[in-house]
Amino acid sequence: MMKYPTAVVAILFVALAAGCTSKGPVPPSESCPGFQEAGSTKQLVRKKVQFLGDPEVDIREMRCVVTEAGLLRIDIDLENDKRRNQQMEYRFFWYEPNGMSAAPDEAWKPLILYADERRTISTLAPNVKAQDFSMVIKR
Amino acid sequence: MPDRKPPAHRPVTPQAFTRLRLAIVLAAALLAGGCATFRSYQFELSRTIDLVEVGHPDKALETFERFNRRSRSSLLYFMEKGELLRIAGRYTESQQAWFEADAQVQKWESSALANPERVLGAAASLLVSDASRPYEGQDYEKVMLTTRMALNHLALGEWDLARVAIRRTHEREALIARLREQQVRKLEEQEGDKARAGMREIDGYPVRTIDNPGVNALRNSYQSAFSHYLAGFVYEALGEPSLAAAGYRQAIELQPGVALLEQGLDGLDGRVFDRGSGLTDVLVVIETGSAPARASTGFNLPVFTDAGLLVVPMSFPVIREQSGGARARAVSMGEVDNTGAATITSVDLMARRALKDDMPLIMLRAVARATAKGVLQAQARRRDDTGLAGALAIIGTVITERADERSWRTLPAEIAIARLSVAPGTQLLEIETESGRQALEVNVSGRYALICVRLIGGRAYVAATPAPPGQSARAGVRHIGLR
Amino acid sequence: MSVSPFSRTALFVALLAAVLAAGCSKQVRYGDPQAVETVSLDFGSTDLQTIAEAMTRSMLQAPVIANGNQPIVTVQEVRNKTSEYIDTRAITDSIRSQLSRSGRVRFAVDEAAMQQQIGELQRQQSEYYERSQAAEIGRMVGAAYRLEGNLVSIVKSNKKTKDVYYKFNLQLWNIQNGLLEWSDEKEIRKTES
Repeated sequence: MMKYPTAVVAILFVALAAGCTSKGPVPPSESCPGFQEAGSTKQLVRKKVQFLGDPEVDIREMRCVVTEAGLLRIDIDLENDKRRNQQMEYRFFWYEPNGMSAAPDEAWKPLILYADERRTISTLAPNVKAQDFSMVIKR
Repeated sequence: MPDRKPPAHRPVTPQAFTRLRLAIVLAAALLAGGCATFRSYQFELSRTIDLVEVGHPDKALETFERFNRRSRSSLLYFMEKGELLRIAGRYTESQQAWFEADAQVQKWESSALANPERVLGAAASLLVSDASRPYEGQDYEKVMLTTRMALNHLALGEWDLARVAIRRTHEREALIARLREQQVRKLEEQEGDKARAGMREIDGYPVRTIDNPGVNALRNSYQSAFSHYLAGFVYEALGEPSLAAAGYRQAIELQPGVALLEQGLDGLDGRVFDRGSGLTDVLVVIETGSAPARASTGFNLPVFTDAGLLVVPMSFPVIREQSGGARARAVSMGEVDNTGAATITSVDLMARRALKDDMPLIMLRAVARATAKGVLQAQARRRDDTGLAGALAIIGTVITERADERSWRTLPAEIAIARLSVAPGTQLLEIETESGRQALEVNVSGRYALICVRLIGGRAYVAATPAPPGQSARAGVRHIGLR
Repeated sequence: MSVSPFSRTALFVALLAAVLAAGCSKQVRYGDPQAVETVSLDFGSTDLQTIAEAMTRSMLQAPVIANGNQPIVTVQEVRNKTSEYIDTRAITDSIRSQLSRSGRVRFAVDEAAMQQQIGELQRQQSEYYERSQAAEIGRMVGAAYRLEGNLVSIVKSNKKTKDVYYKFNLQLWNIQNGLLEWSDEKEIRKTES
């Protein structure tokens, strides 16, 4: 009973660790946990990112690597769809490979996107157990 | 005018009428004297403070209670009572009185937050005399209240509670700052330059008492360097240098160029990490005199009505020049000889600044009332030329027209500080003032200690922090006297 | 049953009064402790949380911590160089608990807690305690690194707007050799108009 999930976790972990070091170019989106199941960046974004109150932003790309210390590092490329500045807030949630929450709630972080701006926001997992994530963007 | 005269019809002789008029004026004067609403606050407080000055704080308290037999719930009552109890060394009771006062100020705070316009009060009592409105306290009094509560906590050895009072002080200050900012903006929008004209229009008003370099040098009426320095000291004593730094820095900003304040900030890191010296870091606070009185003084205010230009007698509050009292110059204690004491806060100047800032609003209200009264008088005079109604109207104006004299009088006029490091134990504290030396025997212990001396009329009342629990030092003060 | 126009008006007035009274009374609600707070320009909860989080995440990437040796760190003062009453210890406390939750760092007792530590250590030396289980004096572990920093602000204002800029700087020093092992800063700008 217990063997199967453990094996999956182990494979996933190895795959992540092998595929994602900060050296060399990082393959976009595919490097992020859950890409296999999602199949495309669009689907991945749909799975990982929740929009509250219709912020008019587009997520262009995600990149994930596991640092030497074993922490998941994430870059997310946001683009402002509107020709005006937008004020929004975002935060990340972190999960262990088995889906359990890996850290207490983060603080909402304020974010300004200028008209048409394309910007990368970057974050790092709070601990090594956090191997998966989701993101909430709120207007 | 003559054509509107009613038919000549005089039931009383001119002589009889003059007698009647005199009787009415006398009766009115008697009424005014006996009426509780128009009692003279300043008279009562002067009597009370006199008793403190001659060394009878308990009698002063008794007298004060007797004057307030009927109104023992006002903010002012609790503020004065707390101070009198503090002078008498009854800190716990004093604290109770101030808690009551503080509850009222808190009520003011929340209503101010909910409804700033009401507190700005420009229109609140256009037609009622300022003196008959409930007293809400001056801004500087509200800030001083929590500062003095902190001093009481310290006199009881409650450092943690002192910290709470200190925090409340700067939170309250920030709130007042925000409210006043709104008020200024609002007033400028509504009244334009009219509101700024101020007291220069009142013929004969002693402008210099509230418009002089000392008053104008203050950033505002309510922030005091002492409150912030005390905050710095308490935070430092509790091992919180990051908060202490803010206190010392604010004190410097409010009272620039005082070496003593700058040393407070510069030496902070050194003092916090110095554990070995075994000396006690003593803050000596020397409070002198008592806060200035507001006196209701009559002036003639010209107002324009449809009956033409009328001169209406109105009263305005005036803070007379007071002999500043004897400021503290230097302090000696233990091995420390003659270290300088710096006067860092003047409640006297703050009170004047508060009046100066209030003056535009007081003026606005006075003009509105004077206009209404002027019209009333003119109408009364027009309707019957016996002059009787006119006389009554004038009496009415005189009685209801008394400027607001209320203010927290038992506060000290000036606050000076000195800071020194001495060996713990019983020490002779000598304070050199402009009028002589005061010598006291005090007991200091612990890493930090505070000694608060109130010098008033040649008397010294001392409040010192007791020894921390576990140290069996005799907490106590012995007054040696004037030298 | 017929209702006279008068009583209908009275009813309406009463209802209106009730609605007004209900509208005036203040309500207390619980809020989201992580929500972005913009009540005033003063240093607030969002500033504290974002600074603590940014610093922790950045520090976890510092080589001395990333190598997994669980270094022992002591937290020193973050000097408050603003003239605002900011308890920087609240920030360092947050940083410390987030770091210790990461499991990558251990903390030695700091200056502020030393008194309590010594007090308890000495208390256990009394005859009331079981000798074999009492904590021994002389066994405390010293830190290899110390954390210190500065918080500065620049405040500017004119008639219409007020602008505050905070810069929080944190440094990790090697106590043995005095080398700076890691340093980072977080900036915050707030404007009120």
